[in-house]
Amino acid sequence: MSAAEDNPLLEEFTRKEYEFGFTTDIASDKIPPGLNEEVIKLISAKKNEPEWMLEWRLDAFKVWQSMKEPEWAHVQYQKPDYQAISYYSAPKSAAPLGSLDEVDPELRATMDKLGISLEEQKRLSGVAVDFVMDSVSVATSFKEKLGELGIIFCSMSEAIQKHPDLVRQHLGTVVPVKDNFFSALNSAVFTDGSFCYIPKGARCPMELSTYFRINEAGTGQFERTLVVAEEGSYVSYLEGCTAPQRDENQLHAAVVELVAKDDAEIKYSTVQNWYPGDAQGKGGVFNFVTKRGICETRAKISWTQVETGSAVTWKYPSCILKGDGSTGEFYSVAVTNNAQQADTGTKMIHLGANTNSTIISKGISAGNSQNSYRGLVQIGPRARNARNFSQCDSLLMTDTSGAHTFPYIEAKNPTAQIEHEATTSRIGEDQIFYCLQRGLTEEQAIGLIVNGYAKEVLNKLPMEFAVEARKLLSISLEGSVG
Amino acid sequence: MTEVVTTTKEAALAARISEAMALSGVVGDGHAAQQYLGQLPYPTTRLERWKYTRVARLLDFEPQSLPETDPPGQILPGFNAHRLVFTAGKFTAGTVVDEGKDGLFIGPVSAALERYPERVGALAKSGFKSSEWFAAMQASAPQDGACILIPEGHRSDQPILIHHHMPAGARAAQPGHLIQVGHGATAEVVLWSDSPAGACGLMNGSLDASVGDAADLTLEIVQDEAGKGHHIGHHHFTQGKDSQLTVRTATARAHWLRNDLQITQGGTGANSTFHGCYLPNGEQFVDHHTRIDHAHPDGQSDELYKGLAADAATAVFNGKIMVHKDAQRIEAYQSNANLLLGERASVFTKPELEIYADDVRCSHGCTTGQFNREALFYLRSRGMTETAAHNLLVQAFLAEVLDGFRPMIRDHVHAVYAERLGWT
Repeated sequence: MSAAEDNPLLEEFTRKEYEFGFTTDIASDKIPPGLNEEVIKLISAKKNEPEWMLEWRLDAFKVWQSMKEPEWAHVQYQKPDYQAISYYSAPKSAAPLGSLDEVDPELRATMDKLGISLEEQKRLSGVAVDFVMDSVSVATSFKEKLGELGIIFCSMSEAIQKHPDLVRQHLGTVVPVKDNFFSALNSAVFTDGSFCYIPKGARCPMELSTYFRINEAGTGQFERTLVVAEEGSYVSYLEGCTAPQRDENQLHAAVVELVAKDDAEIKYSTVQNWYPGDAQGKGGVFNFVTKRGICETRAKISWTQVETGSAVTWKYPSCILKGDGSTGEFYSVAVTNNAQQADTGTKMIHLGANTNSTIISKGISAGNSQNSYRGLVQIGPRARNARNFSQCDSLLMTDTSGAHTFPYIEAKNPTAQIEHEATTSRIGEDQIFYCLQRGLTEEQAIGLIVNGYAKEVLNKLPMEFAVEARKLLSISLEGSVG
Repeated sequence: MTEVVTTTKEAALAARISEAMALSGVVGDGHAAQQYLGQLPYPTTRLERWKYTRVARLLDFEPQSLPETDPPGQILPGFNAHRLVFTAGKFTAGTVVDEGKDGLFIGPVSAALERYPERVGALAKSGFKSSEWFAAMQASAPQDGACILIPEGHRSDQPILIHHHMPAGARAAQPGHLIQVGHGATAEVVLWSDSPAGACGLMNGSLDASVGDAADLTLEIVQDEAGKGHHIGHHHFTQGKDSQLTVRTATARAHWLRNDLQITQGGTGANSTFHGCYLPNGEQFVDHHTRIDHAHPDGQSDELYKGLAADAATAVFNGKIMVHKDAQRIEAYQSNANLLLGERASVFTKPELEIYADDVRCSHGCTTGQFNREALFYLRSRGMTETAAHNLLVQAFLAEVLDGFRPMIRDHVHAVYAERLGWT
């Protein structure tokens, strides 16, 4: 007997439509599909970039051409045709905006549907938002207020124009062009993204947030985010993503680089809800992302992610713990349903002495999905007294889904202390029974148990995002156990 | 006649080993394996299963044809067992037990193949051999090995000791041992490999065992090899319904060793226990790769590997638990603990879970660290020297695995460790 037959709610869930699957009908400036040097020159020219940026892109393109698409991840998909993608698409009203009120009304409506009404955000939550649609940043709020503290928060293209030295100094230092196939592709064709610079000693008073959306058909999104936190500064950064429902697979290949200087702290949270494709696995976003941060002395980088969308996810937010006493954290909840596939995890590379890392990964597999954790903990020969704790739990909702764990643990220093534990199970019948006899319905019981299961991670999210994450999760939780 | 041109280094190595095997006598048919050997890639660190295991230097290995030596001295003299002794892949001592067509057989594979080809034929066919270079190499030119055929319901009263000796010199050996335990039968086997200080050869051996329905096999593997030899072991097990398998591996001494242990639970309700310990020091290298396939429901497995790496040694552990679709109600536990004691020592571990069924309880735990400071402090406060306290803690650490062996073997392995690490 399948789980769906005796549980109407599960059926409802598996049929649940993707909530953010609408498209916005606004005029856009889109170049024809294809990738060659001319296209890169065109992108660079459209963005009015300086010469060094174009050269950097062209070099990256050459590197990319010599690379092969990786196949080691535990996912199966039809490789995208890189010549069939349009590498630049921007909403037409690209003229500089004086205030948010000048934003295209259609676009404003889109933001409202996504629940990121800039007005509301401005007044109530105090979150500064950068909204990136089809790779081009369209609105950034709260700029002046941040400017008073010397904090720069703007789109990447603006940063290249206004702060070229800062960008040039840090771009590609954490994720080199050659790092992997998708990072090379991104370096060649990235169109926008967010740039954030926190000066020495500044404590960013509000959450900075970027919302990414793929709108146009036949486009890919290649955004580039760079966060630089100078000595002793602090910033919390949020990122959300959605895409319309389309039958084709759309490619999202982003690169995120974090630089935490001495004693700085960066908290980076993601709620990823790209369109996952339909129940048969048709359509959906390929999410091939490279995210990495570097920690100098006593710095701290904390990655928190709630992954619920994308047809295929290939993502390993990592920390290079270069400075002595630096700390890396990774908290993740990855939910896969229907035909989704996720291969996600982290890398903690301990180079400095007294470095510390924590990995908490919670996977939930439903439908026919495959959910893998892949992680690396590496203790270098000079990393004395390095400490790592990893916990990877998997929860299986159906007998047709899979949960996998591939941890790599490499220790080259005798003072290292590494603990790794992983469990895979389904919700205990005794736990459900206990809740039932306390008067809860089965759905409530499952909701309670799974919420508790993911709580360790959800608690790490800033409040504004925790609400969204819980909402996303609750859709996936209702009665998904037979 | 056209001259055969060997283009690649691995093809040349394969040709050299095959030639050496042909000289000492190949047992069985290696033609099928030869076919796919040519298509398999030679392992490099770019291959996932050989990421930490370098075999590039073996490409230059030149097996020498050296004169035959006297049979090795008896190991574990007080151990009352049926003994079969092999020297560099040749049967050199032991009595053959042959109770007829469907009866008990204990002897060399060469004799079994002559007398009961149909009973032996199916045993050595492991899918692994068509996917890994060294396993295919072994299968393409197999030497003699022990053949143990336990008939249905037979309960052997005496353990069987397979002793493989690798004499000094740069020899190559590719012994292939076969074990078949019939329906409801039980067997206890010890697989012992050793070599003297002058050994610097390549031992590329296999053991294929089939454990029938409701049968019970206990296998203790002891690797006590002095010298500078390379050892690659392929140990494959298939289990029937409600069968019981226990494999304990003690790597007592090894210069460079890779063990591939694979268990397939081919029936419901099978139970597998596999424990191991290793203790490389100096520049030694020890690599244990294990994989268990839960292909049917209601199976259980318990895996425990413990070891330490001292000085500049490298220890590698890779354990994979695979739960196939519809293999429900599996309970699989895996634990790997490492002590990292040398400034230049390394430990690489990868405990994997791949699960395609939902009603399972699977877990793995893995630690890499040092001595418990409090325990050390306690022992020091009782008047122990630091070395004595360290040694006691190492012994306690390994005891969980070592105590599972029969006392005689446990004491031997313990004595080897004591000698190597200077325990008193």
